[in-house]
Amino acid sequence: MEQLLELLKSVRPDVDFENETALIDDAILDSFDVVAIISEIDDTFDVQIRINELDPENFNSVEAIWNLIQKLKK
Amino acid sequence: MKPTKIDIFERYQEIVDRYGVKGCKSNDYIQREAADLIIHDALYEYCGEKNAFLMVKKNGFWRVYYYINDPEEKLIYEGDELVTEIIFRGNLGEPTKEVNYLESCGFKRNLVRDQYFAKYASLTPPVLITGLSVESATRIEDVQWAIRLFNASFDKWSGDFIPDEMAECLLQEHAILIAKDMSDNRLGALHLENKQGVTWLNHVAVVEQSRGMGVGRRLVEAYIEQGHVDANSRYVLWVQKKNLPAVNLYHKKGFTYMNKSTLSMIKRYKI
Repeated sequence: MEQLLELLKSVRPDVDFENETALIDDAILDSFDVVAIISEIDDTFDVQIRINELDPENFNSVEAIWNLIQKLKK
Repeated sequence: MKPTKIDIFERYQEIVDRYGVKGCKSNDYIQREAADLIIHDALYEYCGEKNAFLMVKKNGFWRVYYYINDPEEKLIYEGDELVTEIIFRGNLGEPTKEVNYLESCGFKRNLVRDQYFAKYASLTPPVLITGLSVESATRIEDVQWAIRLFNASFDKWSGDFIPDEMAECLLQEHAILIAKDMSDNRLGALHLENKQGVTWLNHVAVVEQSRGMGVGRRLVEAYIEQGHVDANSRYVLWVQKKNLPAVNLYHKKGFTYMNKSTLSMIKRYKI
Protein backbone atom coordinates (compact mmCIF):
# COMPACT_ATOMS: atom_id res chain seq x y z
CA MET A 1 0.00 0.00 0.00
CA GLU A 2 2.90 2.38 0.82
CA GLN A 3 4.30 1.86 -2.64
CA LEU A 4 0.93 2.68 -4.18
CA LEU A 5 0.60 5.83 -2.06
CA GLU A 6 4.04 6.92 -3.17
CA LEU A 7 3.09 6.28 -6.79
CA LEU A 8 -0.16 8.25 -6.48
CA LYS A 9 1.59 11.16 -4.80
CA SER A 10 4.17 11.28 -7.55
CA VAL A 11 1.33 11.79 -10.04
CA ARG A 12 -0.67 14.23 -7.89
CA PRO A 13 1.37 15.62 -4.98
CA ASP A 14 -1.44 18.02 -4.01
CA VAL A 15 -4.00 15.30 -3.22
CA ASP A 16 -4.56 13.87 0.27
CA PHE A 17 -4.76 10.25 -0.87
CA GLU A 18 -4.81 8.90 2.70
CA ASN A 19 -8.18 10.51 3.36
CA GLU A 20 -9.94 11.12 0.04
CA THR A 21 -12.73 8.65 -0.73
CA ALA A 22 -14.27 10.28 -3.81
CA LEU A 23 -11.26 10.80 -6.08
CA ILE A 24 -13.35 10.30 -9.22
CA ASP A 25 -16.80 11.28 -7.98
CA ASP A 26 -15.50 14.66 -6.79
CA ALA A 27 -13.35 15.08 -9.93
CA ILE A 28 -10.15 15.25 -7.88
CA LEU A 29 -8.57 12.95 -10.45
CA ASP A 30 -9.28 13.71 -14.09
CA SER A 31 -8.89 11.53 -17.18
CA PHE A 32 -5.25 12.58 -17.60
CA ASP A 33 -4.47 11.49 -14.04
CA VAL A 34 -6.23 8.15 -14.47
CA VAL A 35 -4.23 7.38 -17.63
CA ALA A 36 -0.99 8.33 -15.85
CA ILE A 37 -1.88 6.23 -12.79
CA ILE A 38 -2.78 3.18 -14.90
CA SER A 39 0.53 3.42 -16.70
CA GLU A 40 2.48 3.76 -13.43
CA ILE A 41 0.59 0.83 -11.86
CA ASP A 42 1.43 -1.28 -14.90
CA ASP A 43 5.13 -0.43 -14.52
CA THR A 44 5.28 -0.79 -10.74
CA PHE A 45 2.97 -3.72 -9.98
CA ASP A 46 3.01 -5.48 -13.35
CA VAL A 47 -0.76 -5.56 -13.66
CA GLN A 48 -2.78 -4.26 -16.56
CA ILE A 49 -5.99 -2.42 -15.78
CA ARG A 50 -8.56 -3.05 -18.48
CA ILE A 51 -11.22 -0.68 -19.65
CA ASN A 52 -14.02 -2.60 -17.94
CA GLU A 53 -12.24 -1.97 -14.63
CA LEU A 54 -12.32 1.79 -15.05
CA ASP A 55 -15.44 2.19 -12.93
CA PRO A 56 -15.26 5.11 -10.46
CA GLU A 57 -15.64 2.72 -7.52
CA ASN A 58 -12.26 1.16 -8.44
CA PHE A 59 -10.53 4.57 -8.32
CA ASN A 60 -12.34 6.57 -5.66
CA SER A 61 -9.82 5.82 -2.90
CA VAL A 62 -6.37 4.40 -2.39
CA GLU A 63 -7.96 1.30 -0.80
CA ALA A 64 -10.15 0.77 -3.85
CA ILE A 65 -7.16 1.04 -6.21
CA TRP A 66 -5.17 -1.29 -3.96
CA ASN A 67 -8.00 -3.84 -3.97
CA LEU A 68 -8.19 -3.67 -7.75
CA ILE A 69 -4.45 -4.34 -8.02
CA GLN A 70 -4.74 -7.31 -5.65
CA LYS A 71 -7.68 -8.69 -7.65
CA LEU A 72 -5.76 -8.38 -10.92
CA LYS A 73 -2.66 -10.04 -9.45
CA LYS A 74 -4.58 -13.22 -8.69
CA MET B 1 -7.12 3.81 -46.08
CA LYS B 2 -9.48 6.15 -44.24
CA PRO B 3 -10.49 6.20 -40.56
CA THR B 4 -13.40 3.83 -39.88
CA LYS B 5 -16.28 4.77 -37.62
CA ILE B 6 -16.59 2.74 -34.45
CA ASP B 7 -20.24 1.71 -34.13
CA ILE B 8 -20.24 -0.34 -30.95
CA PHE B 9 -18.45 -0.02 -27.64
CA GLU B 10 -17.20 -3.62 -27.85
CA ARG B 11 -15.05 -2.61 -30.84
CA TYR B 12 -13.45 0.14 -28.79
CA GLN B 13 -12.81 -2.38 -26.01
CA GLU B 14 -11.22 -4.76 -28.52
CA ILE B 15 -8.82 -2.03 -29.66
CA VAL B 16 -7.83 -1.11 -26.11
CA ASP B 17 -7.32 -4.78 -25.20
CA ARG B 18 -5.33 -5.62 -28.32
CA TYR B 19 -3.08 -2.55 -28.50
CA GLY B 20 -2.97 -1.35 -24.88
CA VAL B 21 -0.38 -3.94 -23.87
CA LYS B 22 2.52 -3.60 -21.47
CA GLY B 23 5.04 -0.99 -22.57
CA CYS B 24 2.57 0.68 -24.90
CA LYS B 25 2.72 4.47 -25.15
CA SER B 26 -0.78 5.89 -25.05
CA ASN B 27 -2.62 9.15 -24.52
CA ASP B 28 -6.07 7.54 -24.58
CA TYR B 29 -7.67 9.69 -21.91
CA ILE B 30 -11.10 9.47 -23.56
CA GLN B 31 -11.81 6.06 -22.07
CA ARG B 32 -14.65 7.31 -19.88
CA GLU B 33 -16.14 9.36 -22.75
CA ALA B 34 -15.78 6.69 -25.42
CA ALA B 35 -19.32 5.33 -25.11
CA ASP B 36 -20.76 8.81 -25.49
CA LEU B 37 -18.58 9.54 -28.52
CA ILE B 38 -19.71 6.29 -30.16
CA ILE B 39 -23.39 7.12 -29.55
CA HIS B 40 -22.81 10.46 -31.30
CA ASP B 41 -20.99 8.81 -34.28
CA ALA B 42 -17.86 10.75 -33.35
CA LEU B 43 -15.25 8.05 -32.69
CA TYR B 44 -13.16 6.55 -35.52
CA GLU B 45 -10.31 4.07 -35.66
CA TYR B 46 -7.18 3.84 -37.78
CA CYS B 47 -5.44 0.66 -36.77
CA GLY B 48 -2.28 -0.98 -38.02
CA GLU B 49 -0.60 -4.24 -37.14
CA LYS B 50 1.02 -2.97 -33.93
CA ASN B 51 -0.17 0.60 -33.44
CA ALA B 52 -3.69 1.97 -33.19
CA PHE B 53 -5.12 5.45 -33.43
CA LEU B 54 -8.51 6.58 -32.20
CA MET B 55 -9.73 9.69 -33.97
CA VAL B 56 -12.38 12.25 -33.12
CA LYS B 57 -13.56 14.64 -35.84
CA LYS B 58 -13.21 18.26 -34.79
CA ASN B 59 -13.69 21.58 -36.51
CA GLY B 60 -11.58 20.96 -39.62
CA PHE B 61 -9.17 18.39 -38.17
CA TRP B 62 -8.94 15.04 -36.40
CA ARG B 63 -7.96 14.82 -32.75
CA VAL B 64 -5.85 11.68 -32.41
CA TYR B 65 -5.40 9.35 -29.42
CA TYR B 66 -2.62 6.84 -29.89
CA TYR B 67 -1.50 3.39 -28.83
CA ILE B 68 2.12 3.13 -29.94
CA ASN B 69 3.85 -0.24 -29.61
CA ASP B 70 6.19 -0.22 -32.60
CA PRO B 71 7.97 3.04 -33.51
CA GLU B 72 8.79 1.62 -36.94
CA GLU B 73 5.12 1.33 -37.90
CA LYS B 74 4.19 4.86 -38.95
CA LEU B 75 0.89 6.69 -38.97
CA ILE B 76 0.62 7.34 -42.69
CA TYR B 77 -2.88 8.82 -42.99
CA GLU B 78 -2.72 12.13 -44.88
CA GLY B 79 -6.32 12.94 -45.70
CA ASP B 80 -6.81 15.70 -43.12
CA GLU B 81 -4.95 17.65 -40.49
CA LEU B 82 -4.21 15.66 -37.36
CA VAL B 83 -3.72 16.99 -33.84
CA THR B 84 -2.64 15.05 -30.79
CA GLU B 85 -1.71 16.00 -27.24
CA ILE B 86 1.01 14.24 -25.28
CA ILE B 87 0.47 14.35 -21.53
CA PHE B 88 3.54 14.48 -19.34
CA ARG B 89 4.64 15.27 -15.83
CA GLY B 90 6.64 18.47 -15.74
CA ASN B 91 9.31 17.17 -13.38
CA LEU B 92 10.13 14.33 -15.78
CA GLY B 93 10.28 16.49 -18.91
CA GLU B 94 8.74 15.87 -22.30
CA PRO B 95 8.36 12.19 -23.28
CA THR B 96 10.95 11.96 -26.03
CA LYS B 97 9.83 8.55 -27.36
CA GLU B 98 6.36 9.81 -28.24
CA VAL B 99 7.67 13.12 -29.57
CA ASN B 100 10.26 11.37 -31.75
CA TYR B 101 7.71 8.89 -33.06
CA LEU B 102 5.19 11.58 -33.95
CA GLU B 103 7.88 13.72 -35.60
CA SER B 104 8.90 10.70 -37.67
CA CYS B 105 5.25 10.57 -38.84
CA GLY B 106 5.32 14.21 -39.96
CA PHE B 107 3.91 15.91 -36.84
CA LYS B 108 5.35 19.23 -35.69
CA ARG B 109 5.41 20.67 -32.18
CA ASN B 110 2.66 23.20 -31.51
CA LEU B 111 2.57 24.42 -27.91
CA VAL B 112 2.90 23.35 -24.29
CA ARG B 113 0.16 23.96 -21.74
CA ASP B 114 0.51 23.61 -17.97
CA GLN B 115 -2.24 22.87 -15.47
CA TYR B 116 -2.66 25.05 -12.40
CA PHE B 117 -4.75 24.52 -9.30
CA ALA B 118 -5.86 26.49 -6.23
CA LYS B 119 -8.13 26.19 -3.24
CA TYR B 120 -10.00 29.32 -2.24
CA ALA B 121 -8.19 29.51 1.11
CA SER B 122 -4.80 29.76 -0.59
CA LEU B 123 -5.73 32.60 -2.94
CA THR B 124 -4.72 36.22 -2.47
CA PRO B 125 -7.53 38.74 -1.91
CA PRO B 126 -8.79 40.84 -4.83
CA VAL B 127 -7.34 44.26 -5.57
CA LEU B 128 -9.88 47.00 -6.25
CA ILE B 129 -9.62 48.55 -9.70
CA THR B 130 -11.78 51.61 -10.27
CA GLY B 131 -13.50 52.28 -13.58
CA LEU B 132 -13.95 48.61 -14.34
CA SER B 133 -16.88 46.25 -13.79
CA VAL B 134 -17.18 42.50 -14.32
CA GLU B 135 -20.57 40.82 -14.58
CA SER B 136 -22.05 37.60 -15.82
CA ALA B 137 -23.26 38.02 -19.43
CA THR B 138 -27.04 38.31 -19.67
CA ARG B 139 -27.32 39.15 -23.38
CA ILE B 140 -26.62 36.79 -26.26
CA GLU B 141 -24.70 39.58 -28.04
CA ASP B 142 -22.21 39.72 -25.17
CA VAL B 143 -21.72 35.93 -25.26
CA GLN B 144 -21.24 35.98 -29.04
CA TRP B 145 -18.71 38.79 -28.65
CA ALA B 146 -16.86 36.75 -26.02
CA ILE B 147 -16.78 33.67 -28.28
CA ARG B 148 -15.31 35.74 -31.13
CA LEU B 149 -12.70 37.17 -28.75
CA PHE B 150 -11.74 33.71 -27.43
CA ASN B 151 -11.54 32.15 -30.87
CA ALA B 152 -9.37 35.02 -32.14
CA SER B 153 -7.09 34.81 -29.09
CA PHE B 154 -6.61 31.05 -28.61
CA ASP B 155 -4.96 28.24 -30.47
CA LYS B 156 -7.76 26.24 -32.09
CA TRP B 157 -5.79 22.99 -32.07
CA SER B 158 -5.63 22.66 -28.30
CA GLY B 159 -9.29 22.14 -27.53
CA ASP B 160 -10.00 25.82 -27.06
CA PHE B 161 -12.22 26.55 -30.07
CA ILE B 162 -15.86 27.35 -29.20
CA PRO B 163 -18.42 26.90 -32.00
CA ASP B 164 -20.98 29.73 -32.46
CA GLU B 165 -23.86 27.38 -31.65
CA MET B 166 -22.58 27.12 -28.07
CA ALA B 167 -23.62 30.75 -27.39
CA GLU B 168 -27.14 30.05 -26.15
CA CYS B 169 -25.95 27.25 -23.89
CA LEU B 170 -23.19 29.42 -22.38
CA LEU B 171 -25.74 32.18 -21.76
CA GLN B 172 -28.12 29.80 -19.97
CA GLU B 173 -25.30 28.42 -17.82
CA HIS B 174 -24.08 31.92 -16.82
CA ALA B 175 -20.70 30.72 -18.01
CA ILE B 176 -19.39 34.00 -19.45
CA LEU B 177 -18.11 36.98 -17.48
CA ILE B 178 -17.68 40.29 -19.29
CA ALA B 179 -15.40 43.14 -18.20
CA LYS B 180 -16.57 46.63 -19.16
CA ASP B 181 -15.39 50.18 -18.58
CA MET B 182 -17.62 52.96 -17.24
CA SER B 183 -18.80 53.75 -20.79
CA ASP B 184 -20.04 50.17 -21.17
CA ASN B 185 -17.28 49.23 -23.62
CA ARG B 186 -16.37 45.55 -23.49
CA LEU B 187 -12.72 45.05 -22.52
CA GLY B 188 -12.46 41.33 -21.93
CA ALA B 189 -14.25 38.09 -21.17
CA LEU B 190 -13.85 34.87 -19.21
CA HIS B 191 -15.43 31.45 -19.71
CA LEU B 192 -15.91 29.33 -16.60
CA GLU B 193 -17.44 25.94 -16.00
CA ASN B 194 -18.39 24.11 -12.84
CA LYS B 195 -17.73 20.38 -13.05
CA GLN B 196 -18.25 18.16 -10.01
CA GLY B 197 -17.35 20.83 -7.49
CA VAL B 198 -14.37 22.22 -9.42
CA THR B 199 -14.61 25.61 -11.11
CA TRP B 200 -12.64 25.50 -14.34
CA LEU B 201 -11.31 28.57 -16.06
CA ASN B 202 -11.72 27.54 -19.68
CA HIS B 203 -10.88 30.81 -21.46
CA VAL B 204 -9.93 34.35 -20.56
CA ALA B 205 -9.03 37.08 -23.04
CA VAL B 206 -8.67 40.85 -23.07
CA VAL B 207 -8.97 43.10 -26.13
CA GLU B 208 -5.54 44.12 -27.37
CA GLN B 209 -5.75 47.83 -26.53
CA SER B 210 -6.79 47.12 -22.91
CA ARG B 211 -4.05 44.65 -22.00
CA GLY B 212 -1.73 45.44 -19.11
CA MET B 213 -4.40 47.46 -17.29
CA GLY B 214 -5.56 44.84 -14.80
CA VAL B 215 -8.59 43.66 -16.81
CA GLY B 216 -7.40 40.03 -16.87
CA ARG B 217 -6.73 40.06 -13.15
CA ARG B 218 -10.17 41.53 -12.42
CA LEU B 219 -11.79 38.82 -14.58
CA VAL B 220 -9.86 36.09 -12.76
CA GLU B 221 -10.88 37.53 -9.39
CA ALA B 222 -14.54 37.57 -10.48
CA TYR B 223 -14.17 33.93 -11.61
CA ILE B 224 -12.80 33.02 -8.17
CA GLU B 225 -15.78 34.66 -6.48
CA GLN B 226 -18.21 32.88 -8.83
CA GLY B 227 -16.79 29.53 -7.75
CA HIS B 228 -16.57 30.36 -4.07
CA VAL B 229 -18.63 28.16 -1.76
CA ASP B 230 -16.20 27.73 1.13
CA ALA B 231 -12.47 27.77 1.91
CA ASN B 232 -12.06 24.41 0.14
CA SER B 233 -13.61 25.55 -3.18
CA ARG B 234 -11.33 24.29 -5.93
CA TYR B 235 -10.17 25.99 -9.14
CA VAL B 236 -8.35 24.47 -12.11
CA LEU B 237 -7.06 25.94 -15.36
CA TRP B 238 -4.71 25.28 -18.26
CA VAL B 239 -2.37 28.02 -19.44
CA GLN B 240 0.09 28.20 -22.31
CA LYS B 241 3.57 27.88 -20.86
CA LYS B 242 4.89 30.76 -22.97
CA ASN B 243 2.08 33.13 -21.93
CA LEU B 244 4.19 34.65 -19.18
CA PRO B 245 1.83 37.52 -18.20
CA ALA B 246 -0.92 34.96 -17.55
CA VAL B 247 1.41 32.52 -15.77
CA ASN B 248 2.67 35.35 -13.53
CA LEU B 249 -0.89 36.43 -12.75
CA TYR B 250 -1.88 32.91 -11.65
CA HIS B 251 1.23 32.59 -9.49
CA LYS B 252 0.51 35.94 -7.83
CA LYS B 253 -3.09 34.93 -7.17
CA GLY B 254 -1.91 31.76 -5.41
CA PHE B 255 -2.34 29.07 -8.07
CA THR B 256 0.25 26.28 -8.16
CA TYR B 257 1.51 24.15 -11.04
CA MET B 258 0.06 20.62 -10.89
CA ASN B 259 3.13 18.96 -12.42
CA LYS B 260 0.90 18.16 -15.38
CA SER B 261 1.49 19.45 -18.90
CA THR B 262 0.52 18.66 -22.45
CA LEU B 263 2.43 19.14 -25.68
CA SER B 264 0.19 19.45 -28.72
CA MET B 265 1.56 18.23 -32.04
CA ILE B 266 0.10 18.84 -35.48
CA LYS B 267 0.42 17.07 -38.78
CA ARG B 268 -0.70 19.39 -41.55
CA TYR B 269 -2.15 18.01 -44.75
CA LYS B 270 -0.14 19.04 -47.78
CA ILE B 271 -1.98 18.96 -51.13
